[in-house]
Amino acid sequence: MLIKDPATGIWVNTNKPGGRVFFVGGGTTAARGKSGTGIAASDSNDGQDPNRPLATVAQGHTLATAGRGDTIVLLPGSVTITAAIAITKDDVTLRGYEAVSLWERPGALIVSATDANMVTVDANNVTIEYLTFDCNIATATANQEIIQLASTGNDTHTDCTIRRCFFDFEGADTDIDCIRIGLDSDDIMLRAVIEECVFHDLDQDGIDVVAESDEVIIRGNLFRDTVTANAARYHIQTDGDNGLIDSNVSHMAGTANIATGAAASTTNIVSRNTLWARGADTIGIQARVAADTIMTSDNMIMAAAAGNLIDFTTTSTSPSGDSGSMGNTTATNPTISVLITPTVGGT
Amino acid sequence: MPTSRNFSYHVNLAGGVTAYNNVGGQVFYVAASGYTAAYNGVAGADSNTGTSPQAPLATIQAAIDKCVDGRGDIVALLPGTYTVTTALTITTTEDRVALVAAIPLPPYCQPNVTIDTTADISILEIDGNNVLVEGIRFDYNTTAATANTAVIDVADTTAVNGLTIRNCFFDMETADSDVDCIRLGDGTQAVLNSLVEYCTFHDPDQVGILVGANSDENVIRANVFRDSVTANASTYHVECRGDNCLIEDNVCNSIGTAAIATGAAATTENIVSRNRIWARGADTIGIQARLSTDTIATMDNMIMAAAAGNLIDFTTTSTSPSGDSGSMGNTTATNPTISVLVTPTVGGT
Repeated sequence: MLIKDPATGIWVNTNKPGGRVFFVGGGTTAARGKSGTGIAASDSNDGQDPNRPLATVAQGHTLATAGRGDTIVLLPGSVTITAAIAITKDDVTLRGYEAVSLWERPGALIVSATDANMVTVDANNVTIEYLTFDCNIATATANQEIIQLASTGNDTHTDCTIRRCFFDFEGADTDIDCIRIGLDSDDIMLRAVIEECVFHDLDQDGIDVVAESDEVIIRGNLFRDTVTANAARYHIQTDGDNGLIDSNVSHMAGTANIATGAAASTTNIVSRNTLWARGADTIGIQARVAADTIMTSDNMIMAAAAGNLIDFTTTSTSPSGDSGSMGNTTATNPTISVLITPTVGGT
Repeated sequence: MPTSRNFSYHVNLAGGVTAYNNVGGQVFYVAASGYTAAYNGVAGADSNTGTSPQAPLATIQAAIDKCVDGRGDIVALLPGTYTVTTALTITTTEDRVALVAAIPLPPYCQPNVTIDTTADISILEIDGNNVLVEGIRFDYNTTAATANTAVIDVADTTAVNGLTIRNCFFDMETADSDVDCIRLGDGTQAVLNSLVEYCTFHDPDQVGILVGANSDENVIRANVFRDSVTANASTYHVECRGDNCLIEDNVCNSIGTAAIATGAAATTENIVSRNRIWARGADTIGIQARLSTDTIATMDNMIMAAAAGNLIDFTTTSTSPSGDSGSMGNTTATNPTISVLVTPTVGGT
């Protein structure tokens, strides 16, 4: 929660009480209040009150101090960016003004039509929450991302969280990913958490976890596809190890709802997801190489074809003996007549 | 799925600059008749500033009209009952307005703020984007309403994006039989990316939540619908004519046509999951896809119905349901008796 300390007049993020809060204007002017008349956003403001907001998120980051728990708050409205917002300071939070609920669309927007990542994070303990990312990049470099965790420097970072954000891909190019965790085996993000976000009309991969970026938790997200003609490839794709993919809802017509291991990945748990594999060849859960070890349990998977539920063997007929699948509820192209006798008018 | 509960606003009752979770916005307080705040409070009057509980406005519309488009302003209703005779309107130039109870209660409780009417109107019309309505009881007592009036009517004149209705209580006792509670889009104007959660629909008379055609990507979750408090039965608790919607974790006690239905016009890719449905009427259907061209996934629902054919019905207009649809993992029973399920015992032995 954001509060203004009545004693000092200083805004505080109660989750990070020692940090400074910087406000960024979203196109509107804040209300007149005790401290004076709200003024338009400008990077020459100090940003320390909604009445004196900064104009750019980048300036908020410039003013933030690493390791202190500083927070950059985007006020109602939108900011349009033409270059990536680069977060390189530990313990920084980038958030919207309002703590939205599960799967609610935040009213603070970051918009881009420029061929670049929208946010890169090369720091530890960074949190991004309560924001709508509106990606309108119509012609993008292949495999561009909205958020890239660990993008440069051959460094390993840890413990970043993306929570309750809304990713809107209507109007975007067909080969843009949404969140990429780790750039490669040298730029690594460990123990990231992606939770309770909405991925709207994805174009390529929703969440892509790169090899060596391990112990990632992806939970409680809603993925919806085919709002427009662009179909996603994977909603979640992980080459990392020891991950947990839990309680997500996904419907799509691409390659697979959830996949592990373009390179061999080990000991990932995929559980309690609700998956609708709608395409003729869409797979609910796919272990892409035989060496993957994966536990799938307690998922609900409805698929368009018999072979599309859980696929351990796309490249081999000998899946890892260490893998297993249990307690899943699955059906292929179920018609209601299998379950009950069709009726008219309920009689 | 997580069932998270989050109150997304916190009104500064000390009369400060902003709401804590809506920073940048101005709070405008409204007092019901008879309410006076502590510390030199005065009665509500539209000549007051409305910027503190001590100087509240008297009418909700006056507070809405003071809101600045897009700033995140909040209309905070102090406890009491507000009677309206004309519809409250949040217009296209009032984006990001929040209409909330100043003192929120937990979900499914009857809020301490009531907006009521006996007039033939919608209580609230919303045409702004990113509007939040939270913590309010809507008591609709109009006995002769224009057919298909909705208590909250969204997107009458323009498309709306990002609406949230949370933790509200719709009391439809004594209301006319053809009134809806919430209408998201009229079939021409769309409501997109919106959320209705943790609301109670008490004795709905026609449709609880009607999602109009073209109103897509909406989430309806964790609501409670209870029917048959009076003789009026609902037709549908949730009727979805949009695409790509998610209807999950709701609890329905229905004696109407169906608890949850899709597609008076063809709809695609709706997911209906994890709902708890009691289809109590002789002809009440648990989940109904009204057209054979609907594509719908029903998964992990619990449905108890009064008759064998009433659980999930894909075929009211055709015996060839869409090949793209499916149903799995639902637990269903028709008119089960306790003796079938357990052996009665005495004293827990």
